[in-house]
Amino acid sequence: MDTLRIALTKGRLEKDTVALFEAMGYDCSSLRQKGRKLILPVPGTNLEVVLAKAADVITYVEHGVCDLGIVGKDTILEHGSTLYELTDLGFGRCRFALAVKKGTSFYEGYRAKQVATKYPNIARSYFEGKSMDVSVIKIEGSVELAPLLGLADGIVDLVETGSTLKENGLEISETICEISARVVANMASLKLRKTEIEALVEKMEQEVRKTI
Amino acid sequence: MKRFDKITPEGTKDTLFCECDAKNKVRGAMQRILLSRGFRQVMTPGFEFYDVFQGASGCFPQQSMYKLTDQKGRLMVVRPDSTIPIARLTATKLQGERMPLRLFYDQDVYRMSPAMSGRSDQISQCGAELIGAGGKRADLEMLLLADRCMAACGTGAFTLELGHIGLFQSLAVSLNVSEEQREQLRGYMESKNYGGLEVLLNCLPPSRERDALRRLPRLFGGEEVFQEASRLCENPEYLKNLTSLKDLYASLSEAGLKGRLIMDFGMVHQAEYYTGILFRGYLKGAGEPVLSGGRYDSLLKDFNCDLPAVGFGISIDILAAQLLAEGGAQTAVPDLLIHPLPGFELRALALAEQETGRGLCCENSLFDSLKEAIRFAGAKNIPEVWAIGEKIQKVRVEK
Repeated sequence: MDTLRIALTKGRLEKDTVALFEAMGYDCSSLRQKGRKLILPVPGTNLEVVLAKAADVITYVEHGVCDLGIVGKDTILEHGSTLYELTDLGFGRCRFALAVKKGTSFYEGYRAKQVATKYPNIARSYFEGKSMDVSVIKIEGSVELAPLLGLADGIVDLVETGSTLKENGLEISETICEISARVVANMASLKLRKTEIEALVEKMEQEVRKTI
Repeated sequence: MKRFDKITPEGTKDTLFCECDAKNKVRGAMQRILLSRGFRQVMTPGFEFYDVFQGASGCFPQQSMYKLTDQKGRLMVVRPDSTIPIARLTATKLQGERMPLRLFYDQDVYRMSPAMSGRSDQISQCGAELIGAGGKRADLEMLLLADRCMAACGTGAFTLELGHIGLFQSLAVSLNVSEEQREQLRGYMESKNYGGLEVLLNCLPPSRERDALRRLPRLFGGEEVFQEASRLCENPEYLKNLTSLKDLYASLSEAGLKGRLIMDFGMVHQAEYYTGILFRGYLKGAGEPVLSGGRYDSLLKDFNCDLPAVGFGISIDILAAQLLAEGGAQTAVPDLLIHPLPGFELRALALAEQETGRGLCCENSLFDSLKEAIRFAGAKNIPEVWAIGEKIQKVRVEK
């Protein structure tokens, strides 16, 4: 049987996915002791795991060099366009939020607002939806700095517990959307290898349901 | 200072030798088939007015078009699509023609893709349009034609996928939702976002149609999907579309397509453009559809010409790349290098003319000495050098 290639987002989602695979009965020893390898076969199956950064998972799946991918909804919103989003795995939960300096209001006054974010596309489309002209500033590292230093009126960022915001004197102004890990599939792969892919996704869903 | 004089813009590339051969072979095979079935070729301008692509049905997203202005400051776009210009051409130049019209095109389209995505902005497409005929017989003809075109390109196994936009639309209309919500629904359906669809549908009042929409995107695959689809709901419009699809499927199976035909009842792309059947073609190893088509009965209305139409386009680039990867294309190597000795230049050219007439590929030598000519032939894999003087001396070239 042909190899079925699945791209995993490195880091936290990778750990959760490996745990999920193990619960499904796959031998993940090669994934646990991967060293510096980036392509890892799962013994006894035709699965091959590819480890990649979040945005690259989308790229590899869209181009069809990986059949499936596991990636956060945040990355799909920021970078995704033409792929199938099959299921919500429920882990990696957090949310997108607009946060401001404690006690201030983002929408006050007529002055054009500035927003700092690592996710310019999401921020832009959110404010476009509100018919608001907002200038979006892309920041690479800790976005919390921008309002503290006076560069921005607010930030659009992923929030998990909110403790980073709190420690830096920021607070959530509003939630933009909820985020969790998703299974995505290449459009041609899903059609040409339907039975295989659906069986695997179904197995994942079953396992996820058990843990809830 | 010139900074960009040695590179091509992102999304474009030079095409060399065997890449050209692969494209020509695919194009040749496609054109032979289309011409043999009575399709006539048209070419449309490389750039047209922006307004052509802003119809109600044939609306092209403005951010993916390359734009320029004419001498009067009017906005123009570099051809982003071939079917819309053909609809314009039909509605104007071909109004008096006897219907149906069978037209085909083989030309490039230009689309701005997101930066650094590795996608090409210049896409070679060949496609066929059958205009002025509705109904099953026209759909069947075009599907079989699409199948023949895919098979003729010699790239091995392919799969055709069939759907119908009316399945989704008949169900969505009965839901009584806002246009915005319906578009959201369609988006979830298109990306097979089962979770998002579930959440959205749960907010709506319960009905058989609502529950049918929940299942619709999961109904893809072989013949077995018809069974569940027919049990989903009793909406008459939905059932009518399903029956016509089933009928088409039966005919296609009878025509021998069964093994390479799949269904997807959740196909809902370009919903304002398509009005009936939708189909796609996939090649193993290509991550995106290589063929895309369907019925578009409202496009010509954009140009005040109410005619039904069905058509498809095939990506020459994907097929050519596949042909190349399979070793089906070559860089032509001349059969011989014709080298004139001093004073025999014209005789050499006349001889080359004579040999090419016999089907050989001859390259003319511009070197001063025979030795240089032989060395050149060796480097270029040309197997023979003919030295032309009073007599002809034929030299086999060692590799």
